[in-house]
Amino acid sequence: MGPLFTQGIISTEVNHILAFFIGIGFGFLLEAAGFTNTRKLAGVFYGYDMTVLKVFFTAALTAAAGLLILHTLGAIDLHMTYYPKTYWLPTLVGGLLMALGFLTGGFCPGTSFCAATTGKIDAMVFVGGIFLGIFGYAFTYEPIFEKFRNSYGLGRVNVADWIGIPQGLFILLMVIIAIVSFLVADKVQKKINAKQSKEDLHDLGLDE
Amino acid sequence: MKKTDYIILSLFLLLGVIAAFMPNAKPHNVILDSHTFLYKLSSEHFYTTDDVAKAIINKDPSLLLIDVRSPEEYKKYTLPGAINIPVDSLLLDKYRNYVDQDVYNVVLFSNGTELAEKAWVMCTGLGYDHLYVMRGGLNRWFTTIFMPPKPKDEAHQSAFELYNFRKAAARYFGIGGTIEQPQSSAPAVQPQVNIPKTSGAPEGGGCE
Repeated sequence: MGPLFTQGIISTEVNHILAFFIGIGFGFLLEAAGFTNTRKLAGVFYGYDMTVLKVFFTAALTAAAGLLILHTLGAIDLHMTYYPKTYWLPTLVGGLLMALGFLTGGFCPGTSFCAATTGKIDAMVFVGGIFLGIFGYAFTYEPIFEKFRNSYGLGRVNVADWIGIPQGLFILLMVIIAIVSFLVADKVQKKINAKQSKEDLHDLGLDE
Repeated sequence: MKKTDYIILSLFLLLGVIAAFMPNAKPHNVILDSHTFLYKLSSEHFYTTDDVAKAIINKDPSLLLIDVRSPEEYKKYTLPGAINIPVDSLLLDKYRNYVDQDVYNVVLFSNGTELAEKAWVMCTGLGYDHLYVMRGGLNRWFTTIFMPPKPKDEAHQSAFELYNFRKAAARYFGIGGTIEQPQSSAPAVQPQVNIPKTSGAPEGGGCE
């Protein structure tokens, strides 16, 4: 059956309308989960709040498992979905830059828009920065970035096939790794928060 | 951790276990299924010689011309900017990034239509996209661009406009009139397509 748009089952207009409502749902849930709070987002780097790690890890793996199951059931044809190629070094550099922006700004692109709509001025500045970055990159792409962006290509890499195990088994292994990391993250979070609260009490002159 | 956390983690694990029993899905790295292939075959995938001439003259940055004839024929004459990948070498690893890419519109050409069409069928069957064939090949290139038939006096104005364009194009390519660009056997500037030094994908694996 799916993907709907690629096969012409739905028109471009319907596709846009669906995207609009999915976007609203995404924004609503980001706000509801507290992701428009910069402290929550930056917390993952300091260890006092691991929600971001849990949410994105779970989301990625649920999507991976869901797609594989739906493909097997014939509900979606994975051959017709977009499968980007891997350029490992540009991706690594991009990831580092993204983390730096995440850490210093306290937003990722999606949450910055949500936060801007809630009236946070820092988020509006962040969104301004995003547009500056987009235009800056677009206008300097050919002379500066094009060569690097297309370097270190590996083709379409599927990690499971690359290490030679079935894709489903790979997803299960990742789920187990995720669950273990969640439990460890919880422990780390509790430890750091306990230490922090002691320091806070000390700062206030309220030592136990 | 709360009780609900354990329930959610268990459901997450269950999803992973179900995924583990699913067979592999290999997006884009297998021969297209017959339905998709027939759809592609029936779709328009031709450039006319006029389209190609216009793109060359306009220095269209998205155009990549591939001459699929033998190196001997390529040396004798080819289109400006074209690179030579003989049809029997098209699927070699070192040329893969020229045909399996999403940056350029790749136009394959040979003396007629047949050989280029064969190359197109091979590559399209492997799921490669953005591939086109110059209809009529170099034979039609000579008869339309270099020796355009003069339209009859009563022909429509568009026929005369096309004729004038072809005459101008012939001059551009160095036939008659002023010579703006020398007719050379080797292309002056070849499009740069990144080719990885080594393939990160194992032979026959899922990494194409």
